[in-house]
Amino acid sequence: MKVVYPREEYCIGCKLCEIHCLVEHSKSKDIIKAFRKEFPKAMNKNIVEKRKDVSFCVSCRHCPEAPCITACMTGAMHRNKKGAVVVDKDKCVGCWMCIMVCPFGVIKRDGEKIASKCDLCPDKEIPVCVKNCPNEALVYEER
Amino acid sequence: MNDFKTNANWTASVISDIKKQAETGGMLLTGMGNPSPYPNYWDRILLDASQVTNPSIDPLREPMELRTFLGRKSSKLEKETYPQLELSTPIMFSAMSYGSISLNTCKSLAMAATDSGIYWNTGEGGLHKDLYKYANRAIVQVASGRFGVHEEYLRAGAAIEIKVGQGAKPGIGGHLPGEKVSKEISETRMIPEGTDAISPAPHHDIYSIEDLRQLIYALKEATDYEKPVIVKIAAVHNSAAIASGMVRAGADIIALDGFRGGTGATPMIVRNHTGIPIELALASVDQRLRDEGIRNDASVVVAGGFRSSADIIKAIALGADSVYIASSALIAVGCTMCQKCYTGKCAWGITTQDPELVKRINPEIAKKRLNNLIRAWSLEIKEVLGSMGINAVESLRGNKERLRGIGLNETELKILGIKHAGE
Amino acid sequence: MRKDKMIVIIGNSVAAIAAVEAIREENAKTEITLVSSEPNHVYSRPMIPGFLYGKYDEKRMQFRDDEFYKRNKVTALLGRKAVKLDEKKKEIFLDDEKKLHYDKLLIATGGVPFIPPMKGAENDLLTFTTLDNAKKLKDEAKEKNDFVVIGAGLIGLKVAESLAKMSKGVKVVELADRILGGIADKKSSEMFLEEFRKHGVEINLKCSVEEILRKDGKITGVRLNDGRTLSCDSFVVAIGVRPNIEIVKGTGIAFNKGIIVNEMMETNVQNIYAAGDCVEAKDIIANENRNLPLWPNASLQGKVAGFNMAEKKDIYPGSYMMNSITFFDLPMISYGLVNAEGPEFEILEKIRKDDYRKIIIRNGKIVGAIFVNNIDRAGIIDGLIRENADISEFKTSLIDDDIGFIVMPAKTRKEKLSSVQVTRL
Repeated sequence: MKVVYPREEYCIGCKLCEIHCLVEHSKSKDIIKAFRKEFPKAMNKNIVEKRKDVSFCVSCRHCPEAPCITACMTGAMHRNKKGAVVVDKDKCVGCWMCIMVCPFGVIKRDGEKIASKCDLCPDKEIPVCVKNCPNEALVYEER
Repeated sequence: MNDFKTNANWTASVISDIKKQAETGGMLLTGMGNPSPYPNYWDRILLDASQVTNPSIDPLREPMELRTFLGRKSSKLEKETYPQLELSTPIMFSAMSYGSISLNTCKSLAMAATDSGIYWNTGEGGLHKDLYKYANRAIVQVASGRFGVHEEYLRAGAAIEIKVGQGAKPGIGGHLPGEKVSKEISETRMIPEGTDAISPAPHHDIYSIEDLRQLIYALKEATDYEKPVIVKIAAVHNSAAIASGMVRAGADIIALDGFRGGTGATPMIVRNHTGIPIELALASVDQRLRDEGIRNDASVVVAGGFRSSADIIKAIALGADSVYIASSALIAVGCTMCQKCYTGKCAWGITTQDPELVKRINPEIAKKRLNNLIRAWSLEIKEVLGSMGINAVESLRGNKERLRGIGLNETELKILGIKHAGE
Repeated sequence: MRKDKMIVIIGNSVAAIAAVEAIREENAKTEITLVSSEPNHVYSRPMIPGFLYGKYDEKRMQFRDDEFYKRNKVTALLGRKAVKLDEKKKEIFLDDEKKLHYDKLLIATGGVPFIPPMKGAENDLLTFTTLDNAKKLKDEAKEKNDFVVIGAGLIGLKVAESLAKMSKGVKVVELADRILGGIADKKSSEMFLEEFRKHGVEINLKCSVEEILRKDGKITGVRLNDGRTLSCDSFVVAIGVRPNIEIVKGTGIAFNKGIIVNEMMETNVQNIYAAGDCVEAKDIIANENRNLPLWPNASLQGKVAGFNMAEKKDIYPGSYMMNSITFFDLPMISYGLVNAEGPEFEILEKIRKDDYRKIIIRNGKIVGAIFVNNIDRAGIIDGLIRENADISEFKTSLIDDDIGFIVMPAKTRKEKLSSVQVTRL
């Protein structure tokens, strides 16, 4: 299955991936509104890690045997038709079992205390983080 | 800079340069090519086109040949043949060392040259281990510091270039400061990590054409006469005589680098005031070699500020076999000609070794852009050839009849060997 | 597998459900019968505290949809207890004396609450492990306002928290000298103690209930072993659970505290598997089989058992003690040997206001960790523990605020970030 992989040798740490992710997951999908007018503010689902000259973006790998699905005690974490591991917001209760077992550490707690994670941008052919990376430091491919 | 009162002589840059030197007591350093408003002859040369009697050719309908072979040609019906470089289009990437530019930029050039069927040039930086896979499209350079030169390196390349001079800094050596000599660079250049890499101004073993001949043949011996040897000089006042000597010394290809050619770092005084325009050097060298009957003994490659396919077409009609491009290639991958290469802090990740900055060049993206540039210029060359009714770039070479000068005086026209427009 | 093979599953929580899904992934035809003493559709036990104080209704607690049994072609005998097992004849007997034949059996009976001996204990004692318990307590709370909860472990404190959220008076009685002894270290347990006290929960440490005091049969208070009495009108026992292994007693199936299984989750009797809170399975930190009654473990064990029952060989990689818990607004994730002490352990700690992190290392490997409040990237530690990764090279960075792959050596990091999956839970 195609997922997003980082290539740290080309990541310049600009965090545009985080910004595009946040906007894509906002209500308005408008950058100004998403950052200034929406409450609770949307969250980016990916994380740019940066130290000195090394940086890269990590996001959910939609593991073939996803620990977060195994650990979920409400059935909220599930795999959708596209194969992406996604959270059913109505079912999630914020027990953070998924956070406990995610070896990539890419599930976050959102403002409403439910799990927030990459959904591979269901409305888009290519996830926005990959599409908008100015240096192709993120790739969307099958390995 | 804008704080100074406007003055045609005491310009802001003149004033601030003086202040800088008053403070530091040092030479002014700079990067890239000569930016001064000297005459640019490419802009004063016009191309011909076919009308009625010699019909033009539509390159969409008919095949156009841009393939170019560089190397000594057999002038008579000799049995002997000489090693050739085969180019899909008469353009090559000029020498830029790993050290002066980042490894990612080297990779981009190497990958693009491989894809486009042209050649790239190692400069005096050696061949990094990651670049050996592109070595069959590499011209490996031997310069005054001999950095990174060893048998495997010489054998790996497609051709060997002896660099005598560079257009941006004729008569000047090179200096890669120790702080830029990282582990990778030190291994590639075969020098201790952190030491200054100083290329002397002259080759200490070349004081005459005979000495040059020795080096040329030493390199040919080392590579079993399988690779053409290029000798590169900066275009200076007596280029024509030197070129004649170079050919007689056994160079298969001679490269002339004009004063608009770029560099990673050079004293501003040299860059802005030394050397001559490549247009004039090319015309005089071509003429000299023809006059002496040795034009076929070597190909002529010209370099130094080629900005467009138009410049390239004019150069070929003036007598060049091919051109070297570097500044325009760097612009294709991001360079904005800010001339700060010498600081080692290139914001585009080109002329820097800063690990944070070098990541800004993704060779896969840069390669695509370079391939696009080569493709676009090749299409334009074909279009223009077609308009002249010519279907092979070979037929344009030295065809000065297809050029006309505009706004040039008689001396200039004479040197260029072209007529004035209207004639 | 022959079409007429019959799989029987005893239990209806996550191990059982994961087994059903695994079996169906491999085999659409084999018959599955599921027996559960509880009458409910699948529901999530960890959610009963939320049910108690009205945050979730029953529907919300279903962790699989209404059509789960139908879609998976499972004959679900709910509210029917399996009382006896004859492993020779391959039969189990239900409480209505009906008998079921099986070809393969999965025992996923879970745990039962542990109730200590107390004077005055009658059958009106409330426990807190099932939905029924929660319903009963919820009814009780309609009239009663003053509760004593025995046990300041996970379950006891969850009850206490829920009752506090219902504005009930809550007094917790705990034998140990601190709360959450099994899953928190001293520092983190103090943080939670503070949190409970802030929310008006009285916590009595180092004492136990000796006698339940009654007047006219109604509970009026408890007498503690230190002589004090605490007044209350209701009383919940929530000390913990032990494996529910009634069904295997008197059979040839081997058990200690829990049922002993191999790495395929099979018991010593062929074709009988066990998974979930009732088993002792591989603990990768203790390096022995242990009872680790945790949701994620039960889920994975059920899955492994399911695959093996469907004749797709699968190995349980083992697990270890870990917990993700939130009390009021304070979340904590803890892993492994949180209370380890001794010269063989190296302990790295970072304490900030409301933020605490601790990493416990033995021989260059992580054997325990605690994240309080800032838990977001804790899972990376779980990955490192499961991989048995040597972290000596970057251990000190593990307590840095920006913990992530960035702290790892480039090679390790690149390997992880370019692989499809790094650990299996």
